[in-house]
Amino acid sequence: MMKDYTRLMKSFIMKNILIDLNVLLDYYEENRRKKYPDSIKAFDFLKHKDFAFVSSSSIDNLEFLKYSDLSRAYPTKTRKEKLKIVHKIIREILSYFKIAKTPSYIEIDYEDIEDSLIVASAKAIDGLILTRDEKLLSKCPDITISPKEFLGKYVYYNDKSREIKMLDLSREIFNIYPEIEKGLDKVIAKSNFILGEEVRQLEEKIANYVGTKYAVGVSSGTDALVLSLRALAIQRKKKEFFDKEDLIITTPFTFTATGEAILRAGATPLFVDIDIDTYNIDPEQVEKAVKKYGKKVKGIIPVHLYGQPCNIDEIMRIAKENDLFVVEDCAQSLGARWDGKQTGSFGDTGCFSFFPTKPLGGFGDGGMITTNDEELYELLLMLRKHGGKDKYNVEYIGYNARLDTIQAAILIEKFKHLDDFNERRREIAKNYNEQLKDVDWIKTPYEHPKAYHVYHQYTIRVLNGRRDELQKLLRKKGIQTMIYYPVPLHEMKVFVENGMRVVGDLKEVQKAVKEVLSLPVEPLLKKGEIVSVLNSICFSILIY
Amino acid sequence: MSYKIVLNIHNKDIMDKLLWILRHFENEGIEIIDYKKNLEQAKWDEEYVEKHWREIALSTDSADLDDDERLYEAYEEFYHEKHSD
Ligand SMILES: Cc1ncc(COP(=O)(O)O)c(C=O)c1O
Repeated sequence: MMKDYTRLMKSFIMKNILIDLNVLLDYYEENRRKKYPDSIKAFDFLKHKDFAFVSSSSIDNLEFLKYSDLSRAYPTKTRKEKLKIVHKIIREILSYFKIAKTPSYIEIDYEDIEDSLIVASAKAIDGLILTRDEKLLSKCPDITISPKEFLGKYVYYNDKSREIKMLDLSREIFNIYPEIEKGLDKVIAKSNFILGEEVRQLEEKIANYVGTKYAVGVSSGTDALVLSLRALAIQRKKKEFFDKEDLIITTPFTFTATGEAILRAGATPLFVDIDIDTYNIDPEQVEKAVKKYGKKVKGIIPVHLYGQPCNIDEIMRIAKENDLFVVEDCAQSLGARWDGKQTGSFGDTGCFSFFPTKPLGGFGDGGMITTNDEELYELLLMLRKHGGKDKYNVEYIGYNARLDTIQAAILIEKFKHLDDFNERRREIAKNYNEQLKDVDWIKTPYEHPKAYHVYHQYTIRVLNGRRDELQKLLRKKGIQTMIYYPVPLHEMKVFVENGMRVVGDLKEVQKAVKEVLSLPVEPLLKKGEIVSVLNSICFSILIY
Repeated sequence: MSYKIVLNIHNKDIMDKLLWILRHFENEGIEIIDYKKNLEQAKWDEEYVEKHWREIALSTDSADLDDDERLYEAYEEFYHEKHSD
């Protein structure tokens, strides 16, 4: 019994809802509205909800059924007149609900083809069919729900177990799925999976957007960094790899990939402290490191962490004065600007990640390198494809590090929403800032006057030493939070054992590691959900 | 035994008066089941549809959808008409 109950509850939680034709028809006829009030309540509840769909297979059935009803009620009316009414209904329905496709993997039940289609649609969106059809309800109990059950159990359990996630990727994807699906279908139909036209198109779009002459699509943000460093070693040292004595300055307060890339390119990371206000590398510390290590320092990898640009003016000045290269780690900052210019347009290269959770995320791994340097561009093209201009003319130790055509096709569609999503994140950040500004033990993010921060993460500092407690309390209230990053790079075995260097005591990094907490900034968060995060924080203050 | 009258009334005043009179017989066994605007009269042009589509849509009386026979008939009629346009 208990087991059954859990199964039941599980099967309801966070499922998409596919509204069957009978419920749609109930809504648009007075007699049926009176007879089936639960259909009406469920329909009203689902209007404009992210998880509410109608099946593409229902639309033409709806057209003809409502048309027939109108024909009976209004026998003197012309076909054109009746269709006008039907199309008003369909337009309204499609303004409330998204369309779930009818996929090609239908298991046709010849007793009821219509049901097979809607069942297949429900599987495509991992959804429950909201239906009054007793036959369907008893035939497929696992993927159907009656309006009565919906209003009772579904709404109740989902309200109780509602979770606000850091990001809700499936919500984002379903929101623009028709556009993505169009891109996917095109690639599949052509089957040009390796370096197809879409890769070139995306490269052109990103180069234009960032404001560089070139862009090269690669297999991940990490590979973007590795290939950049390898190309720079070839260009500057005329060697395949850097030498162990070559130092590359970066921040230890970043994702491990930044440091890993330095090691993989043969060099040694030189970690310097951050500016605690922006969490980004501190130019003063960079200058100190250059003074201390002199000519051994070959370059700098500033990371535009959380979507806030570094003080890139200062970094570029130091680089210029000391003949250092700059590889910008823009994994988290696509769309962020410094003094009106995009991150990724300042350094020798800019390295972007299309990891699914990033500002522009694919359906897997992907990345992009931007550059204005023609020689680097040519080298990068070779390195991503085994190191040669073609298969039998190989000059360098290369990689298989191409961006997949299918990822490019998805990214092209998602890219159209990038600016809008960045704006929405900024809006959420503004809301959080306003509400949290008076809490004396919380430090809200600082935005440099020259920066356009895209809030890939909205990260606060909890100054009272009870960050982990706050995180636990929020988790209990269904609010997901994350700690980026609990362990700095200079404390990781891989860097310690591979000769890393450190300048100073990195005390700001140590502070950040203990105090930072990132809150949900899903661009599709509704006002109510933002309020719910803030309320939970306020509640935590009370019971602290 | 009971009887039913269905009327088309082309004058709103007359309809109101008739309704008023009929209500006096409610105790004598007259039951007013329904009275509504005759939406069929007007021409369903863009403007009219814009204003009244919901009302028109709601006013249908759908047959029992489980009646397959009728459904197929309606289906045939719909597509026959569509392709003979
Ligand atoms: C700062 C930073 N650099 C590099 C990377 C590596 O990108 P990817 O996961 O695409 O390899 C990431 C993200 O994962 C990152 O956050």
